[in-house]
Amino acid sequence: MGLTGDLWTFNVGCGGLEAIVHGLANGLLRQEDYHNITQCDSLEDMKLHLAGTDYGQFLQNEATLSSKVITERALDRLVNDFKWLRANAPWPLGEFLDYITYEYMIANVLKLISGARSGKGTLELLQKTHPLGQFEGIGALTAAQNIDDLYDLVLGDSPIGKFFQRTDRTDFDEFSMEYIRSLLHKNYLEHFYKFCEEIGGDTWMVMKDLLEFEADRFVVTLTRNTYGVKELQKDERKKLFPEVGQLVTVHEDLANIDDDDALKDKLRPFPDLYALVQDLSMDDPANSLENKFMEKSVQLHKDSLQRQFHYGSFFSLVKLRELEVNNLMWIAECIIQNHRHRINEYVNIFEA
Amino acid sequence: MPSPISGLWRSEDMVLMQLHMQREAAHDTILSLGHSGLVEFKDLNTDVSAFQRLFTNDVRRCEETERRLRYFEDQLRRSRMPINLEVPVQNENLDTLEPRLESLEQELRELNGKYEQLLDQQNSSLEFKAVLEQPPGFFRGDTGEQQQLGVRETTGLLETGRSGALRYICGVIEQDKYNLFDRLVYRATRGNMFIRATPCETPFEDPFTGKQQEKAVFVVFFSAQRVYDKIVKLCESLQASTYPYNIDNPREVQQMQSKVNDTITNLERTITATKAVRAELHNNIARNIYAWKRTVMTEKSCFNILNQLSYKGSTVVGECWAPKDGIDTIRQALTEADRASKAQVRSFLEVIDTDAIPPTYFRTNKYTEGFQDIVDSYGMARYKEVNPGVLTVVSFPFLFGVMYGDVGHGIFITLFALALIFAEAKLQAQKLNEIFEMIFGGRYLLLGMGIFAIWMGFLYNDMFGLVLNFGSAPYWYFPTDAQDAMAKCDDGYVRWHGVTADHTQACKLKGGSVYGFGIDPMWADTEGKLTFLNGLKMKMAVILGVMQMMVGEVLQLFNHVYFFDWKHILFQFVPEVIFLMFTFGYMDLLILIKWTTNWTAEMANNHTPPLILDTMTKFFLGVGAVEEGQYLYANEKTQQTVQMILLFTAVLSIPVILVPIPLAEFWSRKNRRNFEPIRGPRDGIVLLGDYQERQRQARQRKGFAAACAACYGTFDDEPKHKTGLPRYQTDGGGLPGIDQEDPNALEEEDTDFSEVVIKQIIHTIEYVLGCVSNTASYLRLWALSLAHAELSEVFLKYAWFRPLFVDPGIGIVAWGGWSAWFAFTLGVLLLMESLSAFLHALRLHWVEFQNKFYHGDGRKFTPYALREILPNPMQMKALVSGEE
Repeated sequence: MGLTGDLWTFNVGCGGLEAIVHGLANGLLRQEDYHNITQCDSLEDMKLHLAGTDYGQFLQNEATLSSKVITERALDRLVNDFKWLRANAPWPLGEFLDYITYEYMIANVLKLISGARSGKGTLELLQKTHPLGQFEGIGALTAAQNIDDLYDLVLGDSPIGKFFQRTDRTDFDEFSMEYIRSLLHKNYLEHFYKFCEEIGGDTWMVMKDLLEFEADRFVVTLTRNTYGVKELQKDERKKLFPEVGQLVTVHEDLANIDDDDALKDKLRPFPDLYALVQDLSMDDPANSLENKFMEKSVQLHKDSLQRQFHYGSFFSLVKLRELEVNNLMWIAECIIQNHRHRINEYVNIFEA
Repeated sequence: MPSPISGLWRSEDMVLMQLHMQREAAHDTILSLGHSGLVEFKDLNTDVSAFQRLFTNDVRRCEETERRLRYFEDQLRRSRMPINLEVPVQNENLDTLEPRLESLEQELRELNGKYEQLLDQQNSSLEFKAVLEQPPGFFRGDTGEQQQLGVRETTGLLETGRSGALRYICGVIEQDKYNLFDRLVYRATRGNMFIRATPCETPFEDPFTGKQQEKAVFVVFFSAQRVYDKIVKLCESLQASTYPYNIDNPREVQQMQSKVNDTITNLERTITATKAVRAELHNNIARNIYAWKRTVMTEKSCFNILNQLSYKGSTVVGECWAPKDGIDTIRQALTEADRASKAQVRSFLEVIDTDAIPPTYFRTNKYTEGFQDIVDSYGMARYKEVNPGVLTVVSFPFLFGVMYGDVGHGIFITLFALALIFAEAKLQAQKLNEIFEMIFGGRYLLLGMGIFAIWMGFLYNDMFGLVLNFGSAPYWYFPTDAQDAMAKCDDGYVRWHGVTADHTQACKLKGGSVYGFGIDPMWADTEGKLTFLNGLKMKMAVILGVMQMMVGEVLQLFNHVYFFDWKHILFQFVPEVIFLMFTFGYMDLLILIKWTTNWTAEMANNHTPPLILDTMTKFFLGVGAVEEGQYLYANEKTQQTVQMILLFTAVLSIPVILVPIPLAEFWSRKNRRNFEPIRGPRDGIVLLGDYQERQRQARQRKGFAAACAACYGTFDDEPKHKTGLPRYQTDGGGLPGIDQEDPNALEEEDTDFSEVVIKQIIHTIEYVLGCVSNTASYLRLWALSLAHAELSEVFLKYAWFRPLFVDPGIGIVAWGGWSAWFAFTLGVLLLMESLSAFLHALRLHWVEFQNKFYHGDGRKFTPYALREILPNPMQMKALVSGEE
């Protein structure tokens, strides 16, 4: 039954919040909403249509519309909903929700460092960070000049400090950045996985699938992205693979491969993953592995929202809502730039 | 026979009208109609998506203007400027208002931008000044008497004594961020630094949010040049501003100080001027904003309506529903609009025939509104259906009173309701909180409930659990033994009949007479009181219940008669009434017989009163059998015969409800199928009433006759209506039927027919079982009343009287007891109990009463009325003063 309680006791602490989450999930834009907004000729029309959805009057105080404004306001809405949930969450749901934000914190940290390296102003950079991934002193990251600084200055105290391990790399070259990103993400997944296991109950059952999928996705993507990268020793490559997921058993093999055929071969024992990679080709963007993983994860998140008495629905809601915001950005951009033929390439959350 | 009645009893006569206007006059006409608030427009462009409509751009302009107004409101909220709530006479429209507000917004934004910039500059100068004003010791590490935020020092760093060898940065930072800054700098320099800070005396106004911020002056000493960049970045990331300060050159400091002071004086002058200009602007806005807001909202609603009209060349056609008796007002509004818009072609109205079901519209007043709301929240009445709201006006508070009968509590509720009613005008103007607003909305309901609670309280002779005695000589006496009985009783020893009341002997008091009103006070504190009251209240509940259900049946009759539905009168109303009357109606009759029989005399003949429960059980299970000596009237034999006939008829009426209606439907369909090509009047299955007569009446009542046909399927063997809209046939349950033109109709008929059968089966079962369960359900009247009486008695006795008697004489305990009693009375009886009685009365109306006749599947008439849309002054005031 775990820390969350089950059928009997879950609702004592989290029933209300869970109901809100399911309500918000019901408010996700449906296929017909997407159909309507992709028909729009201008952002004004888009605003008009969105006014009829759960987004309501979220653009009413905007004098001029741009895809940036729409995205920002939509993201604000997500952030407000999330903050409200977080503010009302009892333990351990609160900690669980914090775990969701850690992913955004990691992304922010990397964004700030690479931004600072390219010499942009601190304030400008801070404005570009994801609002869910804010933490105290994040701005000071721009003062860091190498990885040790990074840890000493900020990360040590921050919630994501625990995901960080000292390595022998100290400079912020491009490779190191990617290396840190992978390392942080790996540790994040492992910690989150462990935390969910501690929570136990239905949460564990749902989150186990979700996180294992995330981990597998991460392993496969990392493997593909590091074909033949000389800086990365094979054993170091393996160190970046999270010790979570179906693929744990073949990590050794995956660390050594350098082409798609070998990858397919190694994934053959895992039917659902193999289904995603089997007709992989580098040229067709609509059919890319990334898209397939995305579709699969949407499916998993939707499944998670079908169940009750677990925390996974909070996680899934945030993920789906984030996708929705990205979709809105994509559609708005397509409308502005008049790329009608590509407007339907948003991530389909509810199939027609 | 029924005539077209309008009003609260049946909804207003509605007509569908077509409105033809010149295109140029459309705007003014719609506005004029909006002021009259009598028409509901139909959307004629349902197939056109929202952004393809003609006036979408204008709606957008309105929204843009509304956004400007919201900006102004926000500004006024900040400046706390009182707004003018009068509505000026001259009317502006969007075209004149838009450019004005646009330039106003621009002006205001520019001014605000300038102001923010100036404030920002002033803040920097003030910060610099604060840095410069620090005593030199602050920069040298003297601890002094200054209040310090914090000092961190690494030993040995300053021992060199030469500040020149050290580098330093000084600046100003928000106090909240100082600790973080301190920590970060410490880490960035690996502890190789010295930092100190002191708070600034005056807070700084944030130029963007207008909030006051506490700031602190800090100085950091460090040795390595390499660290300098890091610290500067840290300052940047924490929005700390750094200032050049030369520790070693006091003269330069002095010069800077006077320079900064000059700047500040200059800035202050400019800021004051800017503020004055801004205040002027705000004043201008505050004077007009309410009028602007009304104008924009009016225009927006108007454009939304215009989007629903259809445009052909230079004419505009709109369709709208309106109450029939409002046509004159509407015509007048049109004429006025024509005059105002100087249209060359006059707008005109045309009432059109339709098969569409009109919306339901009841004109309510302050008093009936609350009751109508109760009915509406169950379901809006069908067009022209009998409105249960009329009877609810009395029956609702009455049933509440039956459950809540207590003089004392009733007085409280009445007073509360009266208070609300007297404060009506004042409260209406305010924005109330949600729960209180609900109570306030039901104030007249509460008044009725209170009055009936008092009335029933007198009948029950109950006030806070105490008994009232108005001094009239009582009737009953309860002797303790035979001797007592001989002495006090009038005519010997009469047993009061109770269920387990062998020990409860009661008799008529010598010289006593029947107590004037309600229950005899002598019953108070006797052992038999509860049994006696239970018997009485239970029976009363059942009698009231059967009565209310019968009223429901009669209302059903009214509906059928009104819609010429003879089929349903004969095969639904009549058997249903027979069933109800011959079973539970008969039970009520037995109760009355039992009450009115002189049992003293009867018992002399060895005829003891039988239990009603037993009699009724035998009535149903023993087919009317009456046991020896258990008769209530005449004799065993007669009663048995009567009961057998009643039961037989009642059972027989069940198949009468079940079979004929689907059968009639079947025949009517069969006929129609056989004679499909024939168009014109033909004899379908008109079971009663003359077809010609019906048609004549139908013609008379054109407009809603068609709608009635659509509702009730009474005209379903008439020729098809000329407009060719789909028609509906029902068995009274609102079943969508078939269109005769439809080629697939034959197949559909079969499926529909099975639905008719199933519906009728369900209806029959529901009704028959419902008679039993609904009658039982009315027992809640007794149960709630019992609970109420018992609770108030218990609270009185145990919370107040007990402490009263143990009180040592100083009154503390008595006071405590009284407080507890009053708290219980208030919390449990006045709040919770009244709510529960209210809900049970609600249920009895919604379920037991309304299921006998009420369809409640109509659509509410929602006219385009500007007075509903526009904000009233109070709302506006709340909006601008920031109260939500």
